[in-house]
Amino acid sequence: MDENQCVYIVDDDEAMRESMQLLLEMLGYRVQGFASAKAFLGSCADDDRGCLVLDMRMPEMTGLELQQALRQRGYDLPIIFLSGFGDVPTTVRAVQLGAVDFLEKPVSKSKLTERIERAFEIDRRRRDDARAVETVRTRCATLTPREQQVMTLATQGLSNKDIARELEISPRTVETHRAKVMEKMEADSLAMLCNMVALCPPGEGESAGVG
Amino acid sequence: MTDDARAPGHGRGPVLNVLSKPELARRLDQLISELLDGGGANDATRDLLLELQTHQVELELQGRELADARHILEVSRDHYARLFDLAPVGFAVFDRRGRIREINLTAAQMLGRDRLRLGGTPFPVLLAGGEMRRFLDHVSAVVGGADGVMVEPLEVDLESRRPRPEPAPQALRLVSSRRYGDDGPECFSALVDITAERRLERSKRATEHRAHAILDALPAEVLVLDAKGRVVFANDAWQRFANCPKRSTSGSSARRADVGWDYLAACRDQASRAEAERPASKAETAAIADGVAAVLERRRQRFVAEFACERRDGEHWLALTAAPLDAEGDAAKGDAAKGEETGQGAVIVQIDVTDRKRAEQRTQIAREVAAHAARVNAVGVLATSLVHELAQPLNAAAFFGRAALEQLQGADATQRPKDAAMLEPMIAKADAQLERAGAIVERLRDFLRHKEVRMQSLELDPLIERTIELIGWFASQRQVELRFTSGSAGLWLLGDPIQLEQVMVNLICNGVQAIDEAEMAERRVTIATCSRRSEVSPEEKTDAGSPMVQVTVSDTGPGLDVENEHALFDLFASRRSSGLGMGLPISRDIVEAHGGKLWVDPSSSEGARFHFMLPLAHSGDQ
Repeated sequence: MDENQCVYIVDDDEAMRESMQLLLEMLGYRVQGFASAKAFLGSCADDDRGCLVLDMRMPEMTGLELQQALRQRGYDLPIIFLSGFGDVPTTVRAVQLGAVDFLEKPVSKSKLTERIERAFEIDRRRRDDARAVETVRTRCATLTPREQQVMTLATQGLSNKDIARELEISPRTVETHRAKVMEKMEADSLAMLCNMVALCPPGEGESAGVG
Repeated sequence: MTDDARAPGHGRGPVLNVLSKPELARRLDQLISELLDGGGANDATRDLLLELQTHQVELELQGRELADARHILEVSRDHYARLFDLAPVGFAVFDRRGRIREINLTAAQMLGRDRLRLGGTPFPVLLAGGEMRRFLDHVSAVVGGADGVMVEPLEVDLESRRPRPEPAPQALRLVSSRRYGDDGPECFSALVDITAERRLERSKRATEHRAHAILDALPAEVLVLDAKGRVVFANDAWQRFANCPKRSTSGSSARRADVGWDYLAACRDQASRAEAERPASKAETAAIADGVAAVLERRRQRFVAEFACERRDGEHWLALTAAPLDAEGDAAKGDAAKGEETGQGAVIVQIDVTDRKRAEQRTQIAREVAAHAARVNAVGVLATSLVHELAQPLNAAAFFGRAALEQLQGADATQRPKDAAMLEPMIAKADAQLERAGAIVERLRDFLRHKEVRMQSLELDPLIERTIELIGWFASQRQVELRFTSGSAGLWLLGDPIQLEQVMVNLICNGVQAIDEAEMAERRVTIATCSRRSEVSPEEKTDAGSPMVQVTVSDTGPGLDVENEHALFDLFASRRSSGLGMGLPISRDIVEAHGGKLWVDPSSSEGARFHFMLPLAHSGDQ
């Protein structure tokens, strides 16, 4: 568990919300409870960490609607849905929209904590990935357009000779660019460079490079 | 006249024989004048002769007067004799031994005998066998009875061995009085031909007999009462009913069959006595007594009641109908004394309606089974919401319990005593949540388990509130608001709470589903109540509109296909595959079994609007 991670509970049923909050707090989690989707929307921030435990059935705005609203904002905390009776269409839709879990009440403490842990893990990984992407993107920004071109072609598996032919420059120059790229991207190997390029989608790379 | 006048004077005097009265008078005058003129001749002999002749003429004249007087008397006598003989009524005089002393022609004709041969004939020989005693008793009563006492007329049958022409009398009535004849008192009787009377009587009796035979052949129990409520006639079925051994005295109608027995009084008496019997019996009997009295007094044209009655082969249901009976037009009815002045009264008919009643009971059972099935079905439809509803408190309770456990198993064992105080609210909260779950289970169980209809007094508003509680989650899950506008505070009705709840569950859920399926923007089901009076319809027994309560369930859904209203209530034409639709015909059934009605508003442009109306319980009937 990360110090910053928090369990955000959105449930209109006071007893449900209160008991869950109490139990999770006793187990050492940071917990915030919200009585409605609107209340949560009003206070959530992009740097929230942790996971969301959402009641499926709520007046005014249902769990699914909240999920959609958050998605539109680009808010990407993992969501665990809680439902009294999860029928197949609702479940499918929730998962399609990116819910990490769908639990049916009553939920046992162990199952709940297990899923919260898993959600936290996903959250952590997403943060890490995001951080990595950010790093790659920062490093990419330092590359010259030529270096970018070389990197793209190299990660596509082309040899120096082929790149030279493609870019109509000498293989020697390619080699220099390549070394520069490896240095700037802090990549130890071509494989590592490939991973970085995969994290940073080619479109973005291209726009940053060619444009 | 002159010939007749001469006849009586025949042989009275040859000299003056041929002379008429004026002739004689003239002769007398002549003789007197001759006597006066004879002054000149003192002939004593001639004087004497003249005088004698004068006397003779005078005597003759007197004789003639007498003859005239006698003639008048004779004519008069003949006249009265004819009056006697030819009177339209027969007359006869009997001596104390019943022999005919005198008899007029009419009487002789009645007897079909020659009058001349009847003198001295003992009258009994002319009567049918067996009538002699009665006749002689009659005669001796007349002859030997006290003065001034009228002896009852005697009716006797005539002997019928001898063939007689058709219109000959068959029976006579003798109206007799005492008369003093040469040998002491005699019996003077007027003889009236009562054959026609007898025939009428017989045919009347035959008609009556036929009527009774028809009534006796009826399976229904028929009792005819006079205006005072006393028995005039009871048919065989009633007599069997009356003679049926009373295993228990239950059965609300008084039962006896003797003519003259006061039915009404017996009913009233029974109503006042019927203590230990079935409680309904007393009120029933009183109601019957009042109803029958009302018919007898013509305050009502008809009275109908149904009651249970113990018989040899078990419980039977009887339907009693009392209708007025008017003897008007029945002029020949002789027993005016019996039927009071007017001959009015009432007929009471009891029909065994056990079969119908049983069929009704079977129908009711079938309806209950169907209603129960519909409830099970409804719960199936509601199951999703129900599971959700139950899961909530159970989960909360589990978390509270778990939290308490965590508190106890807390890492630091030394902290336990201090933290024990924190346990209490957790456990209390867990307990409250478990209770909440338990209450849901209980409501549901009530709704499902209930199989037998129990009519009871119930207050409408709390019933509606409980219903909203039961399906509130079904609505809230679909984000439909339930709104209750009461116009029926403090109103009570008689009914089965679960069945009425079912009707409302059905109507409200239908509205919620309609709104949800059509994805309406406005999502609300309104339950409104108001008190009102039933419409007066001719077939209804209630005279004026009786107090009712109307419940209206309207939704903001897309409305109904009004053309399909008929199919709406058809058990086999359910619109919904999910099954709540079949609740509608059953709901209508339930409402009608409660004496109300359920209908849908034809103007359903703004959502569907269902109404049902139920009769109110009597005030104070709680």
